[in-house]
Amino acid sequence: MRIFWTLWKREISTYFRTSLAVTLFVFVLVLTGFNFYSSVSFLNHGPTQMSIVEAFFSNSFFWVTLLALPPLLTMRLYAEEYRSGTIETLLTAPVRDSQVLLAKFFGAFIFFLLLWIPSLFYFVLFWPSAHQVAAAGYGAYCGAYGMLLLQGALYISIGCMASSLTSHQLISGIITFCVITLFFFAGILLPSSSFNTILLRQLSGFFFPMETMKSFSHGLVDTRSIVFFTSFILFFLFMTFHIVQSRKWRR
Amino acid sequence: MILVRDVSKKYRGQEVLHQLSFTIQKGEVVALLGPNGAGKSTLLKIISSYLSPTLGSVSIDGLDLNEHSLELRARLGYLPENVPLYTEMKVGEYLRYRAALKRVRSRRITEKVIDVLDLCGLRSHENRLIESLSKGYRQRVGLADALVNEPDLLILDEPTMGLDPMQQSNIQSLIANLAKRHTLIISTHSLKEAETLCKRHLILHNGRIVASGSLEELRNEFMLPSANLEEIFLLLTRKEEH
Repeated sequence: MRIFWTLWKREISTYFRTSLAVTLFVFVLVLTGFNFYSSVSFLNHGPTQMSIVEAFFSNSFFWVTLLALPPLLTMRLYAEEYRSGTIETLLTAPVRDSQVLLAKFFGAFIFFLLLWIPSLFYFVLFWPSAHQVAAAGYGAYCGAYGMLLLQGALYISIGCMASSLTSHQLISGIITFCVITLFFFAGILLPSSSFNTILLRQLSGFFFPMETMKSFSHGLVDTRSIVFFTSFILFFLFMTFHIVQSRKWRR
Repeated sequence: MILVRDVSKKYRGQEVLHQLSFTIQKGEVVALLGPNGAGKSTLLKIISSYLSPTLGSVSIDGLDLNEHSLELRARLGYLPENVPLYTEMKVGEYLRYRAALKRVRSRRITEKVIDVLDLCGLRSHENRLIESLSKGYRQRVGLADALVNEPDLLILDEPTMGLDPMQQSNIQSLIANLAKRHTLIISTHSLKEAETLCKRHLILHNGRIVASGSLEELRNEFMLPSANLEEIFLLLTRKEEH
């Protein structure tokens, strides 16, 4: 546990050593600010069944922020270690590859979480300014933020894997962005394509990002979605572990 | 004792190392010599457990490197070629981080870091960012990192490469000092350095060991009683190329 803690501290501190942390906080605050403003404007247009939480988590500003963050957070994880050669000193120290992987994953994930914390204050401030609750109950907050964390964790695990494939940060970022964008658009395009089947329609409810976020931010928590996302997170971490291990057989 | 048995390494169908076998006794100081592409760095990466051999095995004090990797890694210090460091960290901070990773007990970390800072002449640079250091000082930080866990075996891959003569001389005297207390394997292109620092020389060419022994043994083997290491090395590598 001490080794993991040491590795994790270095991983998370790396974000704060450069201007990356400040840049990302500004980026997220600006986009979530626009998102909140645009969601309130939408609700002002007329009566709707939607709460501000649902509107916030279905807005295009939200999806842009969510899809853009993971490549930026994960592109350097392994790629930078490969490029600078520090992977050699790291993996010849008495540490397990799994400890390194989990420290990198949780470092990026906790930073991702920190970036989203300020958005909670929008909903806290909503009540005194609009004299209206932001959501029908705590379930909606928990559902929306729970799904945000699950999707974030999935995209970060994809980023870990992409970063372990190359020594170029940019290539790693592009791979991550392409994979998560593909995953996101599959949820929009597949149901309207010729592949549209009953099974696909059933799957889309707990499988595709937008659909799942819609139901979770309404307070409807579907355990199948949790199982699906958790399985995929574990799958991508498992793949990353084996890609890093395979370096032993390369030169 | 380090026992390298029939170690081969293939990479993309090409054999980088071919059935290498040798032993290194505790306390020995061995130079690994050879032209570029001879396989020196690959061999050091295998001994440091960064790479796995395609065939063969490496054991240290009777423990197989594959099976007891973590335990053995805790007992070795490795300075890779080009000295990779986290340049955004400060010298002292980096060494404390590395000591924790190398399982130095928490209460001994400060003491060990001070020891290696003093040993490598880095005490006055403890609070400086690594990125602001010259190449010679970065080399010292790499050495301090390799030493921070009090390793039994020290592996140095071209420790004086790219340094000016003054820096080379400083690092060499540091290594000479270390040679009194550690088993040392040094890969180098400087034959003078090898002759001064090492008691035994392993000459590699195209992934094979072409000669092994002390300077005296090599002179006797190749019947060159007054030759220096450079002459023997050039003779052997030219012979192999023909």
